[in-house]
Amino acid sequence: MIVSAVLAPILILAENNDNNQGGKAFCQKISESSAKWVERVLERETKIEAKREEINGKIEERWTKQDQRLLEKREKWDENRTDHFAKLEEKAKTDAQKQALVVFKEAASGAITARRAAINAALEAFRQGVQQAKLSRQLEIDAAKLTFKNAVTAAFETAKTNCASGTSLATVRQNLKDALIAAKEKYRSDYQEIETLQAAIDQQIESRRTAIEKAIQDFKLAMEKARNDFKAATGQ
Amino acid sequence: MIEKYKVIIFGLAALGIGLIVYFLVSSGVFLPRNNVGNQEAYLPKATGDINETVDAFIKEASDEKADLGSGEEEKALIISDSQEVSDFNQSADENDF
Repeated sequence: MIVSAVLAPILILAENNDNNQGGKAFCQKISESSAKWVERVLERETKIEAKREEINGKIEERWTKQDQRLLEKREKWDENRTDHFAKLEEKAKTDAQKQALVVFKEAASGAITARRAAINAALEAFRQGVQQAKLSRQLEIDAAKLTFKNAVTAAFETAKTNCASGTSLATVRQNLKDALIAAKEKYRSDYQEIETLQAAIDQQIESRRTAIEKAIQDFKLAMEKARNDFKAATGQ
Repeated sequence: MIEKYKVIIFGLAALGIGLIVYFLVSSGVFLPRNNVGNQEAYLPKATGDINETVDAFIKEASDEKADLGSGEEEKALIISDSQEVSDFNQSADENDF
């Protein structure tokens, strides 16, 4: 009985001392974790930034090459067309044939110019749309990242403040865990929403496909008409 | 004697490999990498025939369309940062506490 009376206050003091030690260690751990998290966030932001630059570079390169290739091929087809016209001219003997050829050449050249202009316009519209979609996506990602960073920063700051003000460790720990889980979950849900922006790119792809298809179809119709007109005029 | 057999066997094996490689290359199974997707468009020869002329011009249009791609390539590029972006929230770990 006497022993218990003597030991009890000592044990309570020792426990309090352990709690204080543990509390200090835990508060210290929060500060350290917070600092490490800032480092990790910076690393991940740097990775995202590097990836963005890589994407921008690749898109730019792809479009430059596409333009170059289109230009070169069109030049070759222009030369080829000149050869075809020259061969037709060789065979046009009568005035009616020569006149029909003039009409045909104008019609074919006009149809080719129109088709190329329509394709150029479709490509330009697509590229602008893609750039816009890319920018929107990046802005949404930046907003989600900022929301996440603010939430995690606030979680750590609250934990530090509560730690310093003597809130029980269990409460501080649980609140911090809950806040981090909530921040991560919010980011995950924001990210899922961001991925729906891919539909905007799909729309651009579809508009481009439709416009190019129409340009080709209009061209074919114009060429068929030019062929039939030529044949009718030359009695073929 | 054994050395002589070794030389003959080695020679036959080399000849066999050579024939296999020749067969694969000549049959088009192996193509130089830079030729893939980079072949020049076939330009129809001018003949002076109106039908062939019109067909040639239409072929130009079809070739041009085929050369433009579908636009899916740009989409794939734009979303190629998905892994980095989706992992961003992994910077925080509630299990640390």
